[in-house]
Amino acid sequence: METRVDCEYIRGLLADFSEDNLLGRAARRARDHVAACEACADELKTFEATADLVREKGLREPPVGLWNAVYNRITDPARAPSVARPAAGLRLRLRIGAAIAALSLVILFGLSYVRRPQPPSVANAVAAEYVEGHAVGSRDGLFADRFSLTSVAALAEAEQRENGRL
Amino acid sequence: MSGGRVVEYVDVDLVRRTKTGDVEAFEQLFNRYQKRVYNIVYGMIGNENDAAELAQDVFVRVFDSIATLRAEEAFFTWVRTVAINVCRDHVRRRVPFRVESLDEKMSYDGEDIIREIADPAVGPERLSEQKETERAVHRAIDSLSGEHRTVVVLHHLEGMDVQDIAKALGCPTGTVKSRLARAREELRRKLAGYVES
Repeated sequence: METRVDCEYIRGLLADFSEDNLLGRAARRARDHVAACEACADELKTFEATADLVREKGLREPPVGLWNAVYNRITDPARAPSVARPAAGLRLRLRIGAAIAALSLVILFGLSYVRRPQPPSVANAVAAEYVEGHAVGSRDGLFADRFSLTSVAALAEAEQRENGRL
Repeated sequence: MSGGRVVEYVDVDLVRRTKTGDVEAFEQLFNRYQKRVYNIVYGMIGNENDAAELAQDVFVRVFDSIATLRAEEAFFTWVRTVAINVCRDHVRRRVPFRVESLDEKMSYDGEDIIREIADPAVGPERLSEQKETERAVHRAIDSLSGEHRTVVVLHHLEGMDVQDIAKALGCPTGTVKSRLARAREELRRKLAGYVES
């Protein structure tokens, strides 16, 4: 037999029962009670009717002019898109372009490195000194050839020393 | 063919056209979903001015990022996620304030007093019964706390299930169910005069 105490207890659970929040013994007790007690069954119906009423009447009308505001923003040429991302096809083309540009840079860098004038070696510096000396000496004419031979010998010696062969 | 499928096909076509920059196609998408978006935003924010501003933000963000949408048939599910995220960002940025329930006790000179929102409308006798019920429902929803209002709107108005709401809001399903139960209890009490038993 249902008692007033049962009804008070169950009514405290009806909100959770209507949302299917009760588990195990509490759920069974609420279900059995509502099946047997007309007053509590009516009470449960008011929870369901409230949800129906909210669904039926709860929606509001959006403000007039909402589209105009959105339209003005999306068509404003001065605006930066909030989350701008190009389309998939465009993204692929951009990636290919970036890869080609990177490859071109690598090739250009490599070429410029190969063509770059090498810094003068020790041998070159010695050669420059001797050639200059030869030019000065050849003005007199008498020791020009001898000076030239000495210069070439000194050059070869310096080159070999630099290469670690001596 | 079900109505849902037809909607999806129409959406897919409009989404594809919008991706090419077709603003008229986007306007059609806007017209189809503006009410739902506005109600989600209003439900989560509870303020008309902010809701209008944020609803704009949602649609602008949707337009800007529509190229990233792969599942075109699930357009509105995606829009709804955008709307929820925009609102959550807004709430996070907003200076926190305490939401008081109209049912909370307030006292003056040691005596409890009842607090009510002034209704600027003319008396119910001059309004249609339908309109008056609608206003009562809106007032009741407005009086809920932000957390309760959000789950009520997403579940009862938007038709989302508890798991999806929990995922969208980043909280356990038990929390969503509990909020729904407390909210329904409060709504039932406030709308007792309008509910047919």
